Amino acid sequence: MSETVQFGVVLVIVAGAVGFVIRRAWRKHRGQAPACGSCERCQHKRG
Amino acid sequence: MSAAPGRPKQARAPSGGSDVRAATSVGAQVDISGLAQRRLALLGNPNCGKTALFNRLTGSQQKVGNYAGVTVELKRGLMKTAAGRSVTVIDLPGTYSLNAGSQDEAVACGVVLGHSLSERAPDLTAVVVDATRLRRGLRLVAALRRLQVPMLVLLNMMDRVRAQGRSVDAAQLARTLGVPVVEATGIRPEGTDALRQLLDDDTLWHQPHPASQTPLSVESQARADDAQAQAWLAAAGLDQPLGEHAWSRRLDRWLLQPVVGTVVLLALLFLVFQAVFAWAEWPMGLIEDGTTAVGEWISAALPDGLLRSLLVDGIVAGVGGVLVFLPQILILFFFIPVLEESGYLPRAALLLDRLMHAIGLSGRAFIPLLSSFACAIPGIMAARTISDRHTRWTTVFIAPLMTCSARLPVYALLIGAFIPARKVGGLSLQGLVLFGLYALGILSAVAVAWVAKQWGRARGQAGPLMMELPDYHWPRAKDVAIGLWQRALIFLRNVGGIILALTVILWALSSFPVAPAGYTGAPIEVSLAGRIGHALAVLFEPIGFNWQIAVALIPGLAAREVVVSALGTVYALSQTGDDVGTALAPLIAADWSLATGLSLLVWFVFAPQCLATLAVVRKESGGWLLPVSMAAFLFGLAYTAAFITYRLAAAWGWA
Repeated sequence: MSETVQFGVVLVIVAGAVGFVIRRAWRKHRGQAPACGSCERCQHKRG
Repeated sequence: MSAAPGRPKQARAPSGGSDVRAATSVGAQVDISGLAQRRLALLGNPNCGKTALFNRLTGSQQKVGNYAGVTVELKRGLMKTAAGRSVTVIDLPGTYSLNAGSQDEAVACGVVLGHSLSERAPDLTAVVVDATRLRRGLRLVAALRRLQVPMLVLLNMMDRVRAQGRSVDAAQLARTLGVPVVEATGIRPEGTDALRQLLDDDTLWHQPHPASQTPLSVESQARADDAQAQAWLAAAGLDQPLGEHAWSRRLDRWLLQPVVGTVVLLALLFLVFQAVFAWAEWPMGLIEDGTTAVGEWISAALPDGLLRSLLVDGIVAGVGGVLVFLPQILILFFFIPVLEESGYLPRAALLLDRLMHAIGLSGRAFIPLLSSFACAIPGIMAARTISDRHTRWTTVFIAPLMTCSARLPVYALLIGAFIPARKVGGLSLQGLVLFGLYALGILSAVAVAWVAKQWGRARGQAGPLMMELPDYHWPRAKDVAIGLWQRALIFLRNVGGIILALTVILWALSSFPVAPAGYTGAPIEVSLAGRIGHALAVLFEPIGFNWQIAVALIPGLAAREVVVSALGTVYALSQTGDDVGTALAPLIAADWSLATGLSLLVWFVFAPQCLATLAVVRKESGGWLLPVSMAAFLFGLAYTAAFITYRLAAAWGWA
């Protein structure tokens, strides 16, 4: 696997991770995601 | 797919052909408002089994527990009647009357009486009555009937009545009350069939609904409702109270005795922490071997380069380092539902009530604080059940000091690295240290609450604890297994989600910019993360933290476990030789002094390393004052305690 291909794959993975973190923070801010994700009690926000 | 003629449109059925439709299963964020026009509210006393019924009716998996105050906000789900009609079911927090004393009770009363601004009044209210405690449940029925709220009565826990060799004639009770009465058993699949059939009766749904109601004066109303409940029971021939479990009483004689009870409580906690280390060794070894094998396989399969570094040094070293703690988390969460389901927890609250009062709290704060051992966020939300304002905010303030499950991987890593795995007096030394860390959190919470009591003395005292003690039950193996499965899924979802994402980002920050040609040190030293770490190290040097720890603490603000994966990635990238598969614990044991390890442990006891907790405190308090002062206080406390620990350990020769 060439270095260019490796760099491309890595770039996609890192961009995906950044997107995931930003989306999660935004959804939490909007109250669309569980507050903590650590327990079942707050998995359910008001519908 | 079009709906059948004449029937309301149905929600999509899950596979398996169940006759209920789960509108809000765990993790699903589905807006179901408007799906079903008919709305049924479940109202009842605390711990009468509303949520178990709600789960049975809607197919949801909301948390249930054998104690009062598990539900603190309303939840909605969708059920189907016997004829296939959809009904929105609203699960409300428990209440003893329609005069709300705490915020959770206010939610329940507000919805049923039509006072809620956010929730339309239900078309029908099902009053869930614990059939073993009829009189108390019927007080609520009396209050609702006086206000002409359309309702039916659900006699729950009929299996227990029968187990006592007693019976309650639902038909006779219905004639006496003048409202439909159906038997129900929330824990059995067939336990809600009668209700599903009854809800097909259109006349039930077309009762005149009163305009928004305001209850009468509290005192006279409570007396009138109690007299009415007593009169109904006499008329139905049910005025002989049903006996409670004889063995519950016998057990309570010992478990509520101040000295014996406290010894039993401490012994139970002790057993839990010993088990966390003693039972987890074998499965942890398996996971560790598995992640090492994956790392070696990737190293062999891929050429040296960026992708291999990301997969091996980033993902395998980081995520694998956290995954290894799954067995310990599951062992901890095996004991919690067992204690909850058995009915022991409210006894523990009662036992600690005197101590709670001494520090300005009440036994009512016990359940929120106990919830905080799983996660501070539900604990902070559960503090809504506390009516006294000062007590509530003190409880919220100290909730983050309870050791949440996210700290466990950090503690386990550091204990495994610095505390020898040997026995002291037949007990695991590592288990003892873990017990000590939990105890340190509790004792510091006690101290903070005591200080808050001195400060807030003039603002009133916590009221006396009135808590119903449920009968002891054998925990159902299925419930415990489901709880453990959900806990494992939540942990794995975190590992595969936020922990993985932050690990990848940290790897990128630790790999770029690339070290110049001819650089002989570890390339991470010149990376962005390395530079940030070195800059922050100045701040943390007095408490013994190196730059790698400083770097790991930043992503750890999103979730504490991320600190472990971050350390895994940073140390994997710090290696200059071929150290693939080297476990993190021996690496940090070789790189840090014992003083640094102890200092970091103490930091994690106190530091509010969780932005989500602070966000929830802001939401609950409605302002920034409490979360900002909490963060400043707890970070200050963590820094001071870590400083003292590090300096004392250094003076002892451990630096």
